[in-house]
Amino acid sequence: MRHLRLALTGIAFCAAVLAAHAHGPTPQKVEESIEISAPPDKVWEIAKEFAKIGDWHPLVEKSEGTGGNVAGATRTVTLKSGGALEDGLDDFNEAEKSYAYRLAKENIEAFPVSFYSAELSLKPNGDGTSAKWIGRFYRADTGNFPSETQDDATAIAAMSNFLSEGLKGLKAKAEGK
Amino acid sequence: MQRRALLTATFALLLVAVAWGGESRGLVFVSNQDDATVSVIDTEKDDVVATIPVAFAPASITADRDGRHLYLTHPERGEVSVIDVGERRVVSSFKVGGTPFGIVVSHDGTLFIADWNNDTVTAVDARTGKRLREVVVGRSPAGIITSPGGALVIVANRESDSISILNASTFALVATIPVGRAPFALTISPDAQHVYVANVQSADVSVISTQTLQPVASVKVGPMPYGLATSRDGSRLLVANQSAGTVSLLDTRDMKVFATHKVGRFPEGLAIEPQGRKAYVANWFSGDVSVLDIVTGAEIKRIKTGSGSRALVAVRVPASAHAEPMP
Repeated sequence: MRHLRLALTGIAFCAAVLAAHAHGPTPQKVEESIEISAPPDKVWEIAKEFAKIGDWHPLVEKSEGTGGNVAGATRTVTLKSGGALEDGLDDFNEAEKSYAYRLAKENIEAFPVSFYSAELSLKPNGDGTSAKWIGRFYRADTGNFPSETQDDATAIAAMSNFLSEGLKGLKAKAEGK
Repeated sequence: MQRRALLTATFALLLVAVAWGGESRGLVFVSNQDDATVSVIDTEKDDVVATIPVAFAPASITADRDGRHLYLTHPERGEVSVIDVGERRVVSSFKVGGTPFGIVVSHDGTLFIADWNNDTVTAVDARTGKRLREVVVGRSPAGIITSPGGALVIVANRESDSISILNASTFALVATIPVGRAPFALTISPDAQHVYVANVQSADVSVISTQTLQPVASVKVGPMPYGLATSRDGSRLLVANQSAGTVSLLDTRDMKVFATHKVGRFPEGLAIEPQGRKAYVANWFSGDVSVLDIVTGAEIKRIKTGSGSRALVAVRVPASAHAEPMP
């Protein structure tokens, strides 16, 4: 048991070291939102499962994770376009129907962003729900002379697309379409 | 027209009265990275009283000892802007090359600039912009501070999980000390006994003794701590938890979190106004600044600043043109 724990600690440490890639000093932001014709409680039941983003996000092939919906939980998100992203849950607020997470391991071939943190939140709007997804992130190449495939515009486009398509998927699932 | 003249006269009289009273007031300067501006907040009214246009993508900001000049890094331009506090405008700028990020002025007027991509701290003469020395530190140096007495310069090496301590006069590397994962912001107690380092990835604060140059404690805080400040009496430590959109207050005697309050979205830089009664936190995503009561930590006011508000510095400005240092 003790050996297993030591081994696991070792693995976690290696993962942490691998994840420690430098990002640049100028973060970018995106903000996407959508109106959903379903009550917040119903939308939240779908959206809150951190490891189950694959159930509703149209760009996600599959997702799996450990730790449930508690800060410190992790998920691996395999993209339909290829490659996988690893996220860590930072803050989970049941009362406010919001959670924040960040990229734990970058994969700039799959997703041209070197680091992101993001927050998904729900607010009631009449009988329905306003869902908002915001992100803070850095381009893939954080040097001062990035190529056209690793610059701010590419990162903004990728992030914006991922969040807006995700919200459309959440809406479709919650509205039962 | 007459009314306006009367108002002007009254205002002038008021100014004179303030000057005679020997009163000073506080200004907080906030860098807005997306807007390429610096907002000026008067801490008496807690309003933006001026907005200074600057070059593209300003990041860190610092003030010199007498509070007359501010220095602002532009990582993507390899440049530093100099703002005259009295004139409230950029009066000069100089190229330092690389990716200048964190910046601080030592007591003798030397700028110490952390270069994010070169893993160095560059010493530059603040008056001439002349490069004096380059010291290799850890990977991706970010936040940088001086000790209250001015003898030391301390920098957080974000990708090496360490801090480097330099001698401010000789530029010699005194020590490299391990901290938590991804240290970004740091601050030092007013009595110079402890350095506090906010570790973004491990969500904790490392406490380093300046006597032994060893870590003495590690304290869990909120997710993604990106900003730190101690109260002017040193009794409390404030931490901006970026992912949760909160600021936590710790009692520095037992290092326990005793209050956590909501602020704007994605808070980052923290500063304490000259009187020591209020703290200011720059909310990067929402483009505003939260004003907090230093005793309770509760938000008193939220001030719209500009897009990408990131770093801030407090300066004491007497009613006359003369300004005094804010450590």
